[in-house]
Amino acid sequence: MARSRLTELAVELRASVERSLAIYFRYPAQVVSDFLATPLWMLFFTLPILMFAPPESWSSPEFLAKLYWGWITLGILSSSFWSIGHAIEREAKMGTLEALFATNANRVVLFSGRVAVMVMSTLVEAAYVWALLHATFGFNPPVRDSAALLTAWILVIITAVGLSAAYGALVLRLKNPGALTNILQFALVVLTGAFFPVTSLPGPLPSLAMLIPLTYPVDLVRWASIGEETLLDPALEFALSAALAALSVALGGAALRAVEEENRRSGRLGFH
Amino acid sequence: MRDRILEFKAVFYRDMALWLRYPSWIFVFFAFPYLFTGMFYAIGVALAGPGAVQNFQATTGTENFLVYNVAGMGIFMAAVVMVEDAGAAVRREQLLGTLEAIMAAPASRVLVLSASAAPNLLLTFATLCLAVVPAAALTGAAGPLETAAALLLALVGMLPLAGLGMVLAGLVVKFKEPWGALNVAKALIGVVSGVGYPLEVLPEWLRLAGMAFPTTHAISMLRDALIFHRVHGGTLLSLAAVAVMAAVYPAVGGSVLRRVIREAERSGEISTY
Repeated sequence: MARSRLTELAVELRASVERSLAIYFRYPAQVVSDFLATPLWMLFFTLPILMFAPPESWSSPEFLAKLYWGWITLGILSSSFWSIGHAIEREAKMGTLEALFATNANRVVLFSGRVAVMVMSTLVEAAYVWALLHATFGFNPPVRDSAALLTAWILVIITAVGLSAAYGALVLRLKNPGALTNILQFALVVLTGAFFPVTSLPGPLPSLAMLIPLTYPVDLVRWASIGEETLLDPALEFALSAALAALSVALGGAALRAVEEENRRSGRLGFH
Repeated sequence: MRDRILEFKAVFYRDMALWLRYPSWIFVFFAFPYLFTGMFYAIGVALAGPGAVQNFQATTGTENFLVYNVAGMGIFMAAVVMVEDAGAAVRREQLLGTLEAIMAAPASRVLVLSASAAPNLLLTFATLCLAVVPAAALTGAAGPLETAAALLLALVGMLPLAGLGMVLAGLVVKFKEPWGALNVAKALIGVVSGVGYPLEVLPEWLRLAGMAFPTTHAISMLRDALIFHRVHGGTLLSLAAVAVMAAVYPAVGGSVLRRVIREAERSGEISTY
């Protein structure tokens, strides 16, 4: 009996996640080191920002909350971009990219398993960092509306996967993504307002930020967590974010397929 | 001796060819310090408001946040490349199956596996100069001579990183995938070196740990010369510390690498990956 396309996608996603989980847990030292390194990286990124604030505000709950939620957004965005860009590069280096592309699996789903694992690891680290901050400063991250926060996170992840697929297409074309990933992820963190409302950006940057689909779900995360004002009416912003998430995935998948086709024609698919 | 020079030249040419094959990385090493500085500044201003630069001056002693952060991030990037690439180069040979071929060649194994430090040092120092010079000139922090002297101090501070790279190369020969430990080491180096803040904000024990890393001294010397225009007892102590590290770390790293290779050859582990 023919399975529906939705069932097929679910099966492909499950296979992709299972494969990524198996690879992730194959190196337990990597899992442990992630836990050890996370608070250090947080300090590395947070302390230079704190230099711009008066010392008496460093441990204020509002300040810590903005940094904490911003940190999680940064983690999820960079996980998505590194996961898809690197997954494509790694498969090409291992000589398995052609084999994967010879299957009829959905190209976005093919690499999303790795994103799922990285997002899971980021969320576990977020819980662990919260425990550390709670033990050190008595800090509890504020949550204004937990259902809205969860929905906003899901929209952030779906949109990030869509954009990462478009970025993956660029990787297929450029072959070495490391440099681009680094620049892109930090530019996106600033431009989508992971740590602060995009309206605080100088000059024409707020207008540029409004053109990025991720800006809206990230804005909703800040609204649902620390209660900051949204760019649009929250209900309208949720609807817009959902539409942009779907559009991002569709366009990302189309871009990936287009570059794959072009590489097939030119015989450059397995080049790296 | 002539053979060793030829081997060194061969590795140097190979690694420069690899770097130049992906020139976008060179752009990143130059751009990254600016990207991070921009990110720290943008988030800092958005969170702290118009008094952000005054706050920065009160804590760091200068309002020149551009040179302060570009200098710190530039040295940090150099450290990451010099340490990580030494291991990545060995890992690449393992995965491609060319490590055994290198071992079979009538060349010094330690030299072939560690000479990458030279092109990496050259490349990272060049990109550090490319990053620091415009920042110092744009902000009027230092004149050409002061900038040159500051960069020379930074170069001395970067020399011991070759030794840390050799240790990592040894870890790759032994454990194949030491990236977890490397991730912790990179984060630790980043935190204890005071990349974007003065060391005084760290607890005493972290400050003491930082003294063992050349990056801490290199950043401190670079900032002292570029921003604060001072050579004090601390600067001279830092210079002495990195001079000792430059002699000791590569010697220890070389010895570790030599021992690991010998053991791996004896046990046959050299061909596993």
